[in-house]
Amino acid sequence: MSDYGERCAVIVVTGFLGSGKTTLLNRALKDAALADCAVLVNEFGEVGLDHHLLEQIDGNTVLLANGCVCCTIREDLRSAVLELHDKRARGEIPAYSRLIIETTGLADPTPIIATFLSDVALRYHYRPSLVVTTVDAVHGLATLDNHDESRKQAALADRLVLTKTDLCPAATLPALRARLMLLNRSAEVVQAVAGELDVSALLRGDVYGPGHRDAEVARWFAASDEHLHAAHHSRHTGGIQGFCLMVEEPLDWTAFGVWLTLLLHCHGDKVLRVKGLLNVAGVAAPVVLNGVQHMVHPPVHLARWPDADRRSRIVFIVQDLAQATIENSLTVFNTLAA
Amino acid sequence: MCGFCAVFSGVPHWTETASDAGDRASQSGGPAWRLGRQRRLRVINAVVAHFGCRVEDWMGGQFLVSSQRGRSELVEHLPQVWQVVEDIAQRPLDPLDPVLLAALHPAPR
Repeated sequence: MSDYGERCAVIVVTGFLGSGKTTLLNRALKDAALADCAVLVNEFGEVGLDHHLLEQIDGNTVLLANGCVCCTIREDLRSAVLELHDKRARGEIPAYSRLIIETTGLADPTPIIATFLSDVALRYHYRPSLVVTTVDAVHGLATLDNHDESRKQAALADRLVLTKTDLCPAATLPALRARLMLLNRSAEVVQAVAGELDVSALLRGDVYGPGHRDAEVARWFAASDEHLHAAHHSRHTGGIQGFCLMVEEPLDWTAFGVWLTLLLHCHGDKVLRVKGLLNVAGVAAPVVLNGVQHMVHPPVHLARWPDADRRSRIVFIVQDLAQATIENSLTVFNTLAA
Repeated sequence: MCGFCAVFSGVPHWTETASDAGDRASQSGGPAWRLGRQRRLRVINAVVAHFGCRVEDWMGGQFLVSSQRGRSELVEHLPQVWQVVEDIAQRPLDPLDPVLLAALHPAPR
């Protein structure tokens, strides 16, 4: 099995109907720096094919044993990727090192991630890399107000791309940014200026690829509580909120693993994202944690702490769960291995 | 699969990826790894005891979940342990449940 970071990076491009996914994808397809990408789309649209590989997938899902909707394996996606993989192995198509998947506008990206983390055949060759969510600056606030799908797409994102910013009133952007901050404090918010966007920089780099780990982890914790207080007066978020736990005591890895698996087993449908930099007792280097609902990527290390602060920090993006309750539970479980 | 005992062993769960988190020095199957597994079982049992269950190691690759009434089941990973315990106890195994937390960490008198 190849090292996790060496596996083909899977980038999920999602976003509500008309939010600019295809425009973003078109731009990616024209970027020479992304020539090593294969692309899967749910629907053929206005995507230019050029030198890239493109396959269409249909929608059907297979439920995993634990029965959670967010952990369905997309059988159609699995088949499409394995077919692509076989073609590459037979030399029928050029080698690719990234796979971009464009979802439909109403899609929940979680089953796509679950497919790559859970499927025995895929997980040896592919790793979920980034969820890139496009948000239409003109209609974004209304869409977030009215559609659960849109809120979840934003909450799950690693990158939030604000599109059509040249078409919206100037006062709209700060309000939209504030709302997105409440929904997802750990994502990088990127604004397309007059249609210009460095797509290659946007889609490159994640916490597992070489050379990007420190910068990516720094992004997770860039939002301060001051930012969030400033955003506090924003409108409702459908029960979704983000918070950052700061843990003074070093974490016992055994107790933490038991606690988090239990939390995700019982409440994984409400824990949309969890991202952490952990001070594990007996381990000098900080451990990087990255999870989506019931699923957790294999943990990795940073080479060194980013600053003098040795507290563990864990960003949670949750729906209808209270920070104090989670914090108290972690404190209790952390004592169990003593 | 282990060539000696023919027990199937799948992909390690993220909590057991000792090569890149937790104890880097502990290789799968080695003494440090076995100690770590015993330690994990102690923590698991501190929790599942409140649900009338016990969990033991099975050939270093699986967990044997047993109930007080004699039901037992082999599973591979922690999430499967929790599912079996819930099935046996017929109630959710909720780490946020204040009753469970109080039982795990009684307030000093």
